This record gives sequence, structure tokens and C-alpha cells, in this order.
Amino acid sequence: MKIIANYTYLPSSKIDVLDLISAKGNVLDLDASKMVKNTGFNSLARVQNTSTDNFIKLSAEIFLDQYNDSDLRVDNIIVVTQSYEQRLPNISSTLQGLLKLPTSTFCVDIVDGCNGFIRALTIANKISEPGMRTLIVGGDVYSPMTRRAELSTDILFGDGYSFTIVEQDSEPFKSKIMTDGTRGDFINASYRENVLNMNGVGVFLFTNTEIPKLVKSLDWELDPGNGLNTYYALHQASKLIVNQLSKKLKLDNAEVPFFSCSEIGNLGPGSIGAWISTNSSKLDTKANLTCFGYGAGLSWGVASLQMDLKQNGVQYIDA
Amino acid sequence: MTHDDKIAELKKQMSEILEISESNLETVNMSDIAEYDSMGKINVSLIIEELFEYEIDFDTLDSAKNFSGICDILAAKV
Repeated sequence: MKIIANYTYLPSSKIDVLDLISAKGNVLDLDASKMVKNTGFNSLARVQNTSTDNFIKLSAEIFLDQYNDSDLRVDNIIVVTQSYEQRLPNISSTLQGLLKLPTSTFCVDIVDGCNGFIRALTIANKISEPGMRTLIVGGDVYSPMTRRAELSTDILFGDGYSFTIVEQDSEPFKSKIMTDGTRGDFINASYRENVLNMNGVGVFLFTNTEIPKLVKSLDWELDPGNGLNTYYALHQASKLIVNQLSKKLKLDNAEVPFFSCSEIGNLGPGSIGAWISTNSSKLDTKANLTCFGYGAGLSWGVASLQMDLKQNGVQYIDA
Repeated sequence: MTHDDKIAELKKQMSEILEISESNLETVNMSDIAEYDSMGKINVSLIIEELFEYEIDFDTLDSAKNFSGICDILAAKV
């Protein structure tokens, strides 16, 4: 399976993290600078006043414009998000209509977080025959959930979505997904309270331990050695964890930075798409890609596939 | 490096990152150290991993009430 197109849609408005800390917390300047240095997030993409559902609709309208109608052939839509406000209809069905896709399009929404992109790739692979294409829409409008969250959580998350099209082919797709529900309380938000609670230390320690363990357990090589460059896309949780994991796993991305969302924030299931978009000028369009996800559940996973990117980029939306 | 050498190095590095003297580190509760916040705990866990090749989990780290508690955990696990 290969990624053939990837766009990331972000609100045009951003919030400076130092300003956010200053407005929200009683934190000394030196401590605030340390916080920003550790997370790596200088500013966060934030919607002004719109819902997840509306932001995805606005993104879809631009996606349709960007994509030549004759090329937009999609058999499945998988939407991965946690911040939806509209219970019914599901977002994937709404997208089928907005994108003028056939009524035979298979549509499904998944409620999942930072490992959601890996899960969506895995599902896309399972439901696709060669030649079939799946649109994966991943991300969140987190700000309504983080506004009243602890400062240390609020300074991590941005708003935005990636739209990624994968096409099934004869190339091997490999993935492995793990879950540990006993630590589910490390990242939680109830529908009623709508506040994102996170045990940052717990999540860091879990990721630092479980991802290397997972990699050791794989029965395939992260770099298939097929002559194409292999890139490693890590969920952009924070600069600290991304740098720690890339170092521990001894990954090599040549000139492409492992962390590249310093002006966006953590987009949850949209962060790997955002990484691909923000590095569009640095990535070979045809390459191998191994992605790592880790987050709510707790859940973590890895997926290896190919890219043959015809379209890739970031688009800003006034929302 | 012996286990005792590693404990001495841990104390030295923790004292630096937590901005507390080594003698005070031995006597105070971890919860009373201002710098032992989220980042402080993460940094301590990384020092432990580097020195002892032991990946400490959250519940274990959080169960240590003072430096001596951390040493007890390391003596038992490593």
C-alpha cells in the first residue's frame, strides 16, 4: 500500500505558547522558556470559533478544489477524530456527500487519538483490494478540550486535519498495533466535561518503554532495503519524546527533521500527515515510510508502507 | 561503575537538574522539591535509564517518596 496524496489543513490563526503561558499560568519567564524548549512547540494552530465538524467541511471544500475531479477516486473514507460535536450523521458520510463520491463509498468514523493514523492505515489495508483507494482524514479541533485543561496539557495541542489518500497495490504493508486499557486513565476526556486530562509523565514513560519493545518484536525490517530512501514519521507529541525515541531507536532521516510541528502543535491522529506535509520539500516523493503512533488507549503502533506522492502540502483556512 | 558509584552519580545529576544540594536531596520528600515536576520526573527517569539501563514506569517512580525510596527501587530492580 502507498500514500499517493497528503494535505494538511490548519486554521490561519495561531497562538504563541509563551503568551498562552503568560495568560493562563503564574509561571516565571525562565520556567516558561524551559517548557517551550522541552515541548518544542512555539505556537499552536488554533481555530477562532468553529467546531471540528465545520472545520473538516471547510477543509473538504478546499481539498476538492485542490484535487482535479477526475483524479479524486476514493473507495473508502476513514475519519479518525475524538473531538466531534455532531453525533449524527458521522463525518465520513458527510464527506462522501461533500466530495461528490459514489454512494458505494465505504464510510467509517473511528474515535481514536495519537495512534489513530496507524490504526486507520491498518484498516485501509484490510478492506482494500489492489487498486482501491482510501481517504484517511485524521486530526482534531482540540482547543475546546484544552482551554480548561492544565497548562502543561494546553501548551501541547493544536487544531487541524490531514487528508491522506492511500492506494492498495502489490507492495507489502506491515503494521502492528498494541493496546493497554489498564493505563487508559493516563489520557482521558469525558463528553460531558470536555476537558482533556493527561498524565504527561506517565505517557512519556510508557512511550519511552513500549515503542522500543514493539520495534524489537517486529518480524519485518523498518527499512526494507529496496533501494528507496526510508523515512521515519513519529507522532509529533512533543520534541522531547520524538527526539528521545529517534535516538533510542537509532533512526536516521538524513536531512529531514524528526520533529517539524513546532508552529502547529500536536494534532493527534493528524500529526503524521502534518509531518509529511511540512517536510514536502525535503522528502523524496517516492520512498518507504515507517510511521509510529502512541497515545490514548493507551495504544501504540507501527506501520511500514510506501509513498508515491503526487500531491502534498499545507493549506491554511480562515476559521 | 559499581552500583554505589551509579547511586552517587544519580545523586549528583539529580541535584543539578532539581536545583537542590546533594545533602538536602537526601533528606527532603520528593513532593517538596519544586523542580520535581513533570519535566523533573521525566529527566530523573532518563538519568536512571542511562545509568542503570532500567526503564522505570510511572507507578514505580511515583511510589518513591524520597531519594532513599528511589535507591531502594533501584537496589531491588537492577
